[in-house]
Amino acid sequence: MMHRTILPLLATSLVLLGFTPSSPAAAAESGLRGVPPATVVMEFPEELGAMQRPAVEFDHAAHTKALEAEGCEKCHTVDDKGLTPALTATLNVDDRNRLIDVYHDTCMGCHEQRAAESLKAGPVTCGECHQRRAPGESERVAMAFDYSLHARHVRTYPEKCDTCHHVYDEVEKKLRYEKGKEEACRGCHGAVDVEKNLSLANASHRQCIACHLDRARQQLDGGPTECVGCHDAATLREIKPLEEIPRLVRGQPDSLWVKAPGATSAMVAFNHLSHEPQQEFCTTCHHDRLLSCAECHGLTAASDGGGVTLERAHHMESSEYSCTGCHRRVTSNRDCAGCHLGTSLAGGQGACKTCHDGPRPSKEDPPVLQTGSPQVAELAELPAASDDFPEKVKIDVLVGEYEASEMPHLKILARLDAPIRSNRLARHFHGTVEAMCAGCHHHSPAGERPPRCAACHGPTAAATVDKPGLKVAYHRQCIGCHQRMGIDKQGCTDCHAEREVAP
Amino acid sequence: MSMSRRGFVGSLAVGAGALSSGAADAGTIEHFEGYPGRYGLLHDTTLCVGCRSCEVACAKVNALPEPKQPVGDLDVFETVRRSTTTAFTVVNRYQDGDDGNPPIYRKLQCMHCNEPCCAAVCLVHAFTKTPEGPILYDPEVCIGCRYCIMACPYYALSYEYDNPIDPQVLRCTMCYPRIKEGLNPGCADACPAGAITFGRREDLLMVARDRIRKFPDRYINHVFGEYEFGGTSWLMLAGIPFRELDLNEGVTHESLPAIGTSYLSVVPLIVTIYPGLLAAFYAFTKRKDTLAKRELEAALAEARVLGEEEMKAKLSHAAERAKKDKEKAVEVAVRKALAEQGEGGPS
Amino acid sequence: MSIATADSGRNGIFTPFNLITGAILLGGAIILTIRFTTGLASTTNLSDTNPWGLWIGFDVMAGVALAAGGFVISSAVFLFGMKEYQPVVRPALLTGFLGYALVVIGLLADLGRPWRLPYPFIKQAGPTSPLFEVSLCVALYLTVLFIETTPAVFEWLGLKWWRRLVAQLTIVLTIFGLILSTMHQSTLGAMFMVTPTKLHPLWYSSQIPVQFFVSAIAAGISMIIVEGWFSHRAFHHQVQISDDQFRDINFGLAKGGAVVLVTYLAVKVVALSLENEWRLLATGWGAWYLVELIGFVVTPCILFAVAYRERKLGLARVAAAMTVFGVVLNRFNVTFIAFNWQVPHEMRYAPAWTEVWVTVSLITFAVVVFRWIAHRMPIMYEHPDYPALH
Repeated sequence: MMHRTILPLLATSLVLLGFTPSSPAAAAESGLRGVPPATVVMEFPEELGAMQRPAVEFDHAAHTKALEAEGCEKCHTVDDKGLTPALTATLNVDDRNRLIDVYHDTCMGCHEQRAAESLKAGPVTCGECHQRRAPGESERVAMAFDYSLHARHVRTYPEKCDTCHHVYDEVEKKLRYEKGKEEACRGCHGAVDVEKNLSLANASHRQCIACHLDRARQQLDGGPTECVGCHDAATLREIKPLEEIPRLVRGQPDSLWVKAPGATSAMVAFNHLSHEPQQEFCTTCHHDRLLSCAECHGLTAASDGGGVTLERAHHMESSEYSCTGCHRRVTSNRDCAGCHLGTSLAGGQGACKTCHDGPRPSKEDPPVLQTGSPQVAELAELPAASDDFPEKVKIDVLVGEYEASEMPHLKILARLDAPIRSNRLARHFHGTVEAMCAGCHHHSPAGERPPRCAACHGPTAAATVDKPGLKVAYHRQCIGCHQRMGIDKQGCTDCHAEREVAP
Repeated sequence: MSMSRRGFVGSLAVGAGALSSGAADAGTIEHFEGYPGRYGLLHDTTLCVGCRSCEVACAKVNALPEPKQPVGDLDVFETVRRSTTTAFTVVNRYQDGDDGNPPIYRKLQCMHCNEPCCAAVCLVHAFTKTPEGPILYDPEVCIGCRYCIMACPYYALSYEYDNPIDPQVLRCTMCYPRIKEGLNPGCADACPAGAITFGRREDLLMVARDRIRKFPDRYINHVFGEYEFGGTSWLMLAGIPFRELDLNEGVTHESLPAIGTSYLSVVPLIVTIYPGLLAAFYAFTKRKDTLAKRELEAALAEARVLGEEEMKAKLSHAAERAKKDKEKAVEVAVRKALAEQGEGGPS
Repeated sequence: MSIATADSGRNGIFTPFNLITGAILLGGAIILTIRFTTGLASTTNLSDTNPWGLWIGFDVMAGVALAAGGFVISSAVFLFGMKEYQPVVRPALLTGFLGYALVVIGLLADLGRPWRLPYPFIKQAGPTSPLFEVSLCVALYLTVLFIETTPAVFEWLGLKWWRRLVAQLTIVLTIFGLILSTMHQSTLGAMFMVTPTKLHPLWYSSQIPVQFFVSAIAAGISMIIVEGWFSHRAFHHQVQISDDQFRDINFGLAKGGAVVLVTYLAVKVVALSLENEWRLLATGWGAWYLVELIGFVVTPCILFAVAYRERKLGLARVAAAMTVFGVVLNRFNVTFIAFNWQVPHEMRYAPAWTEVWVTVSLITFAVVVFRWIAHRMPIMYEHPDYPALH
């Protein structure tokens, strides 16, 4: 029966996921006892009822080491399907009390046997396994299978994507391979087992570890076969990423038009190739399946897209996956935050055109995009110092308790210019000097000789439009930017000397 | 039964009134929003950097001595201060900023409430809520009872206890003379961070809401002073809960005068009902006394009459008996004489 | 009527009583002189955070409550016909009058500008203020009490016509006095309704006016017993009623005291229920509240009842003293102990010794004046030439 396999699988998966994978740092911060990654916490899931004794913290690593000679088969089933994570003895056991007996017989039985053979053995008394401990937090980290790791696997099995990738055929009710439809595991495998669809943990353990074991047995270089190999933060840090990660090829275009059936606005030319190395996983953007956004997100909200329209999918600023969301996160870098996180930037219609500068959708096919489209120009050199472009600006309109301030105008520009010059995204959105000027000289036409601050900021605040007065405008603009960019000039005398007020 | 705001403010503006609460519109269902176009100040505590320029400016504008602790001295924030007779406003630090977040400051002063309890409880009407917003104090009538200081929930008032001749109640005046001239209050002009904005209260409320809408992660979604105890002229924005800034968070929207002086509506009832009631008691008592006296007299009279008749009856009975006895004695003597005569014969 | 004066005896005017009270009064006068020449700061611990202290807490708040015996007993005798209490009417009225005079003197010491005391009536009124109503009622009631004590004075001076005139005013004055007392006794409590955030929720209630009024009645009754305790002994030679009659009066008052205290307890319990504050009783402040309630309301209530039943005068006197103390404690709590309860410890108020001395000297002053009047005028007895008032 289904539940004979499911119950122990359920029990095991919930046991493995008994603690939400965290990290040693998180555990230390929360003040809880850290539980090492290789420790499996054995406790019943809710459906089986509460346990009479505390959960057992099973040191899987120690057992793997002790039973090295006998291998995983000692406890697990390893077959052509892979390695079954549930203990072999617990398969087909659906009764709670029977399950308890199975665990006790298996564990204690083995320990007693080894003890009889004068080998190092585990405990046989209740309290030694079911130890009462302070609340703990797992130090297990989630495995991050990024481009680099994927590339190493591809190097080992070039052109053999079917080694790992499969799809489930609903009609024939079995797994098969379909070229060009390779997905991230996460796309189908969720947090828990759903009928025959294993949880991500169970699926990975079954598939990955079996293969690694196989290669290990054949004396080939392979991946880790123990828990710490994938789930220990320190071990993971030691895995060096490839210096040059080859592109993950799955038939994706280099550049494409972003469009959707029924959409009417100008199309967006999207450089997929340049975006790929910005993330570690395809799923950073293709958060569900490796499809284009319009496949799930329609022009109107639908359940397919989780109620998110295509427009929101692209433009929602708070989203992790949308274009705008990711670009906005980039602007919180120190080099960008001075202007972008200040309150002074106006949005405006101009920003739309930066992306939506393609042709409108029509019956005809859109023009073919070359690799590298859309092009982003290099920045022109900053102009030399002149009256229109002063090197220093003397701000003396508000001299009172302090002397005039000498603002190093060109130095500031150079500081802002350097990171823009080297950043493709920045150049795409504001690749002209005028655009950079608008960061400080806001709410006015960009270009040479912008209006003086005092032209719009009166001596006192205009309360109705929440526009600060001139003194506040200067302080908020300058000091605010310094704070956001981590520049240490934030005190009064850093910008203007105190004035000896004449009697 | 509480007074409407207009009735309350109206009675304040009028001044001397009858002994009754003077609420012309007590019990009305209308809602008085306050004088339209009145001014207020918006204090955005997320912008305050604790520079205390406002304290220096306030001292200058009001001809007070400069703050004892100079502006650069950060030790002043070790204690939580309050306003005094020589410092109408102070800035306190409510969070240290040790945890990587910036320290949090707040400026405190008289809040210039919409319905000031100081004005309601003053027995000589020394406080006036002006149509422009500030509350004014008249030292010419103040008797120094200090009820206003007791009542103020913001601890904003101070008293010159060391002055035997003309002690005054002192507090922030919202720079009323400057406002009348079209200038801003001193603190608003001085703040370099723009943490204080001066303007019409209704405009400032919209500005505050707009800031919350634009930066929801920066602000708690609440403008303190909009409704608390009827609302204040000083409005506050903050990024931490207001109770951590030593403000009365979550208090009723009902004004303190309504809560605290509505009891006075019972006074006319006592004055009108008691006299009749007590006179009635006195009349009952008097009547009881009179009735008791009458009963006593009646009982005495009856006793007297009864006594007389009884006496008469006794006397006549005794006379009867005496007569009978006499007749019997005569009879016995006659019989004896006859018997003697019969025995002896005439000898 | 030969009246023994306080001046008789070997020592002349330097009797122990005179020496002690004289020293107290002299000290008080010196302190008040300093207060009026240098301001309140030099002789009090008042501050911006604590504007009202012992002088308001005792002289005004407690003083008005303790002087309530006047209206209680005069209403009982003249309006409700309880003639058996006639002998204590005059002492109670005199206590009341001196009590209210003490209130005014204490107020003059505490006000920032005492010469402006009449301002609410002559310069500018603030009729929205509970304090305005209190001051008006107290001023009028002081006048009423003054007139109610004049019969004794006129009898002493032999002014028959004046005496007859004021005697005819008795009923009107008693009614007026009860009206005024109801209003200002309760409004003294109502004054704190404007401070919901500053007065501890166990003491703050919408029922505070009723609580103050009822406790004032209890305090008045108790003060008559306490005052009678001392006067009966000090003026025994004047007293015309028998010991039994005196005891009966005291037990009657004790019975009244028990009933009023039970009513007060009920009002307090209702107040707790209205605001659903039961859980606050488990806090530190709750313990202090229970000390006030159980120790100085419930206990004297029971003692009064027992004293009445067992006819134990000593017990009734103890109960009366406890009630007086309890009412004073309640007024202190509302004015400066449970008031400002959330203020940091270093900014809380405790009275300065100068404040205590002035309060004690005001009480001494009242006692001295009482004694002087009672020695000379028909307070403790009825003048044979004049008919009893009603």
